Amino acid sequence: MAYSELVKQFDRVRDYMRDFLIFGFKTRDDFSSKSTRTYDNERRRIESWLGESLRWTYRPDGKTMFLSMDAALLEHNPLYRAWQSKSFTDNDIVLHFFLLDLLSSGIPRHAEEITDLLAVEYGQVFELSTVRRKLKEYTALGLLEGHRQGRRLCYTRSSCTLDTLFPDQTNLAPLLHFFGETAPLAVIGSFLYGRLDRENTLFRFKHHFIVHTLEDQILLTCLEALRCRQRLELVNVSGRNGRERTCVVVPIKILVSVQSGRRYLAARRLDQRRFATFRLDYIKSAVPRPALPGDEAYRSQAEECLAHTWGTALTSRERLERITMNIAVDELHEGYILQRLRREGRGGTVTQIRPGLWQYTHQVYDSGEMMSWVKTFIGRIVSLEGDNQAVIRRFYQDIQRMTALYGGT
Amino acid sequence: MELFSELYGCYYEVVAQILRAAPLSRRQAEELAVRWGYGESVLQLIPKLLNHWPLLEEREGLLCSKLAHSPALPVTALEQAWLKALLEDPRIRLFLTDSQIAHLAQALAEVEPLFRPSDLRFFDRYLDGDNYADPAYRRRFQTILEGIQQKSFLSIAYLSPKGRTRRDCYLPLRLEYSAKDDKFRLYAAKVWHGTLQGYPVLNLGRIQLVTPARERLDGPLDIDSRSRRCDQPIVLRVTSERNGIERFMVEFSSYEKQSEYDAQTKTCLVHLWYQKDDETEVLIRLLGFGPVLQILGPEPFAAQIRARVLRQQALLVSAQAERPAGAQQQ
Repeated sequence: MAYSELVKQFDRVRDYMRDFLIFGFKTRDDFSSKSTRTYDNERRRIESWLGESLRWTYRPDGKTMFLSMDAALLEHNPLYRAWQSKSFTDNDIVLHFFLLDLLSSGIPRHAEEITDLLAVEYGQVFELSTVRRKLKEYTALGLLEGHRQGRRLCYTRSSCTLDTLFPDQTNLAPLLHFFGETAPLAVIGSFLYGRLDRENTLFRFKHHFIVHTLEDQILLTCLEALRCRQRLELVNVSGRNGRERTCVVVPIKILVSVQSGRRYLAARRLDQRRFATFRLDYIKSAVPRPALPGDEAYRSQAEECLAHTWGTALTSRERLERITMNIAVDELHEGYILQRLRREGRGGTVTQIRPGLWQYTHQVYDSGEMMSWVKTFIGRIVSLEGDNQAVIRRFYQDIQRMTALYGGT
Repeated sequence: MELFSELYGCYYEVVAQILRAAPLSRRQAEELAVRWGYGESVLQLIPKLLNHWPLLEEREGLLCSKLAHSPALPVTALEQAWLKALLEDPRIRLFLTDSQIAHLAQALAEVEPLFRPSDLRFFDRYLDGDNYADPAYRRRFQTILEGIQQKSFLSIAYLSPKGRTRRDCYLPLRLEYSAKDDKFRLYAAKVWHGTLQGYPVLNLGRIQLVTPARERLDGPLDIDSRSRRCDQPIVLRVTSERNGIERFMVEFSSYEKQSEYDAQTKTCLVHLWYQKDDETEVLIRLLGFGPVLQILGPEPFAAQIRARVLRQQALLVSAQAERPAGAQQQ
């Protein structure tokens, strides 16, 4: 089959783009599960979509492709281009433009009439069944409106446009630019933004995980299941061994880390009778399944648990773990450290022990999750104590190992 | 609902642009494909458009559209649901007036939002984000937004971190939003009697008053010079312990970096570039990885890490010494 810039399935390129952007060190041989021709085609496509953003270098073990960019300097997420690469048939595109043109007059027309007019007005003969299928599809997508006239269903083009939604378009471009990068499923905003005839480049986005968009179809399915109170059948790929597992879950919430760049589905895992979190980028597919009585109870249990969770560990433990960190702060000149404790401490208590010594305390289900944050205060931690001795021990061991790494004794 | 649809596709967009621009020459059509399409769209799309998709007809040497109207795509059901969800985001008030919001809400009254704020939990977002519900913040934001678009000078009263308020004249240039801080920052050119005083960054939450100003600026502007990339990248080695490589690569995926994996040691050597203004932030984030990551250079940066680690060790040793006999370090 001849090479095409367009693809039928998004999943095929999702893994390649993620590997190029996140890791950037894999060679063609590392993509061994695919044929070399598949690798070459996917690489060529991504190069075609992203242009110079895709770079390469030679390493001793081969040529590596990588996407490397400072996201804070970008006007728009370049990975959105991948969402615009869906393939289609000749009939699809021709019918798309002719149908919307024909029905934009506002006169309701039924399928037979439309089929005839396509031949008369545009010289294109389509099967009635093809036209019917497209009319049904476009009505479901919201492009057409169906009006019942007697026994017949007539169609017009939808009157919902950016002009009708925003008669005053002051700040519409900045709005779509901003939310088209920052809102959940922001790529949808970029579709709308692309319809404006003006550029807006007044925003930049810091701490911006552009890679998230590659999981947006999974996110959309999860959010729809949450809205419709459905279950989900997930195919999840293990981050450790790459094995695929299928399970049915009751979705609870999407957990987003704006610091680590990871997003999760929090859910009740029915086969293991426990709450679990699934990384969105490790979910291969999600299919809605009907809900059953009792699912709502899982949601309220999980909400209680989330109230005392530092990160994503939805544990079934009953006991909260207390953690206390004493840190040295010159309150006159280092007020920013106290500010950090308060704004980053996720509800922990900050108190002064004595001049120059402050205490941060918190109670969470899994204090191990806090350790990355605790270590950001390295250099001023006077003591760390807590109920979970394994966690505390590991912290002190880590300090000793870091001391050894950096030349201490 | 499907995100991956040809409706939003690049080729549909290019063809719509060509139909809007018709009548046009083949060369002009190709230019549009270069501008709006992918890298190889001229070779792949244009022949299909001219030979297989009968949307254009040739008249007097030009390609003319067969459509009666200029092509326009209605707002799809997916897009409507997304816009409806934005109505519950307090930041929408920064962009739209109350009457614009009321109109949008009315127009989408029958639409279910694609998501609700309670469906998502941003669990590590800082708690001192900007107060979008404050009407005065909203007014200031809109004045700044207008100032950027109109390229007009503003007089801004700014509360410094030390608690002093200063009023200066600025040409607002760009807004930056941080998802982690949940704050906006303004990149501006500071101007005094027609001369450029630099490109400060102002936290919108610290701006107390914004009013139009009469100023002028002699000479060119170069906002991009404000982005000060580090002179040398940080060089570090990250190990696979505690899934370190994957955690590091995802967390720093928004940074410019180059990496090299060593299969023998199962470690990854990374060169990481950052903006000079962000050095402390990058430093403490790297510290958070603990011993699974080692900073190898450049020396001034490694020295900062080393100083903090050794100071930490000294603190623990002295705390241990102060403890009563029998109370051992854990």
